Amino acid sequence: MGVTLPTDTHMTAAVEFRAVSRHFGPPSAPVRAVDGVELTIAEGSFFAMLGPSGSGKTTCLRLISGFEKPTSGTIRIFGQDVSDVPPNRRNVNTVFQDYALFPHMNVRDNVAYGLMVKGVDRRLRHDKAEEMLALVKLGGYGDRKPGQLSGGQRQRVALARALVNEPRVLLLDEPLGALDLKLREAMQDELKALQQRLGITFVFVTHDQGEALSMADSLAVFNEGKIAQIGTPEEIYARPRTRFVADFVGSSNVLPPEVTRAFGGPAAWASLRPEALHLVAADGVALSGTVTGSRYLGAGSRVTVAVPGAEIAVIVPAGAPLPAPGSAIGLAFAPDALHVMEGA
Amino acid sequence: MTASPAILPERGPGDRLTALFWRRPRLLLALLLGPPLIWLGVVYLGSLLALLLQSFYSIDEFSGVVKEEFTLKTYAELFRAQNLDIILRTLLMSAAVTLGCAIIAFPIAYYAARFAKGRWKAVFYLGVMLPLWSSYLVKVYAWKLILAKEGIVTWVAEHIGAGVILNAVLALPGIGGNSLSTAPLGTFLVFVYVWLPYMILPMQAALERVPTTMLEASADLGASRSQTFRTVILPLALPGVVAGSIFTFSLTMGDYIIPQIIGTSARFIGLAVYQFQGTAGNLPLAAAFAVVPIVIMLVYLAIAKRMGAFDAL
Repeated sequence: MGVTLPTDTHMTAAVEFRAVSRHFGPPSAPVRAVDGVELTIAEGSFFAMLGPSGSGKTTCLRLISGFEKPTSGTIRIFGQDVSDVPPNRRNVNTVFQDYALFPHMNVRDNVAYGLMVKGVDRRLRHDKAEEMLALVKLGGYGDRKPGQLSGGQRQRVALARALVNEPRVLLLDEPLGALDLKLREAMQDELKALQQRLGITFVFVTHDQGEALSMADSLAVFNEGKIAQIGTPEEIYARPRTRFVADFVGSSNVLPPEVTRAFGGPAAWASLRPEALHLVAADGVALSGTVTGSRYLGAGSRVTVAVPGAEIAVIVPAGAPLPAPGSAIGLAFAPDALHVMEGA
Repeated sequence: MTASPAILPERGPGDRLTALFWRRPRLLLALLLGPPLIWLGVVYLGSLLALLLQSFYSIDEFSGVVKEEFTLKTYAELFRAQNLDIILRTLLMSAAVTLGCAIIAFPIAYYAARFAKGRWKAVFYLGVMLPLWSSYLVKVYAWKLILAKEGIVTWVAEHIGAGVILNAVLALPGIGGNSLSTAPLGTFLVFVYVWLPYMILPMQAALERVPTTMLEASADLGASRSQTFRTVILPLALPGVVAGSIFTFSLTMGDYIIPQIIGTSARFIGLAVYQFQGTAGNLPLAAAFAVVPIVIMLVYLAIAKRMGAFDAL
């Protein structure tokens, strides 16, 4: 059984979903984008919603911001029911996937927009905007138009614009999706540092499991409108509750029941992390197979071994000898590394 | 196994032409742009310049012969009270028609751009374009009947007890008249009807280019609907509105048929040009009149540019 979020009574829930569903299309044949989701996001946490496209994670985010209304169920933000509260009155702000910067305004006016519509006077809001731009390391860029910025800079402007209103929850919809790998990794570190400094709740939608695992305090894995598992990154990675979670989150080996049996477990689906396996000499061991290939990963190599009924990936540390493809090889692992999952 | 050749054999003249254009990309560009540039540059701009040249000539008042000497006398004639009247009337009507079209077109264009999908989009395009399929003259004469004293508008107004209102409107000086078909108000209504598609289509195209996330971002940051409209939608749609208004404005300024058939028969610029170059044989004055809309459009575009109408292009 997967572990749910710690329910510390002292901690306020920033966002709560109670049996929330959002269906699209005709009631006779609804598309269940979000289907009976129960969710509690603790205040001050960095929460990730992970899932493949169409799994309902973005719809959940839009339910929090108010761009979607639940078909049924209740959403509370800091304990208050927001069913009848339009987006402009919710104290949450969003960093959009495409950033949605206003092209006809310069960077400063973009960042100050939230204050402008509140009627804050020009000088005050420009000062505040400059402060926010300095926070995201874009001091001095105020006079530029969004079209003159690079992707990474636009992303920072979107962040500054969302933070200027001092929201209690910041929603991020795949904000790093459009960035190249190096910038992405730098932004991941910066976002995490920013969240810790500001102490506000971040809700982060992503389809990149590495991103979710490395940044979040806790995460929810979505599948077909439902939450497949909620937990800390360690829990999700080491003890996936279902085959879907194991498949989606890990580069883990997913073993069908008969293979699990052969590996010394019960007749049920199980996961086995590639780094928990070792290659040993083929003779005299219970488990052996044929090497089918290997892929160089830098810090090591990923060797695939065909056993009856499955293909098993094994991480071999750098420097260790690599077996030739086609050769027979033995497999060994600590018994508790085999994690048995729920469901058929 | 035989290896396939590194260079594939030529298949005929098509391949040879492709190779030629690949080696000389500018040749293709020149071939594509040449004919329209000749058309636009020589035929259109050439005749426009010839017309402008005419406007610097004058007409001999006794013989009625055009004197081919440079003079500004013809332009000075534009400032005579009766001619100034024509210009002012045309300008006011063009501005009113543009404003009327913009107000009616915006909700339609907004609906089409934001909400219409699939079949409803097709219905929208059909509905907007359908009036363009029938002859302009037929439409104008149809409106003359609709707006006539014995027409359906008067008939309906009387039957629903709104005859008093209609008569009160017609009694207004400046826009009223004997009936709608002989009042400036009637001219205005028909102009708005005839040019409406030219306002809706560019507006719709501009509104369609405003991404939904931009509106969501505005609401997300705390803006009300009307704030979003003023600070995001309108500035981003402005190029489309200006493009549409160029159509309605210049089309109204150049038209000489509608003011002839509907309204008080008071002259508009188009009608003045038509009459001066035709029956009156005063080609220089006709040319000078034709320059007026060009100048007004240039001024209009300069103002629009200064207001930032093209910043979002």
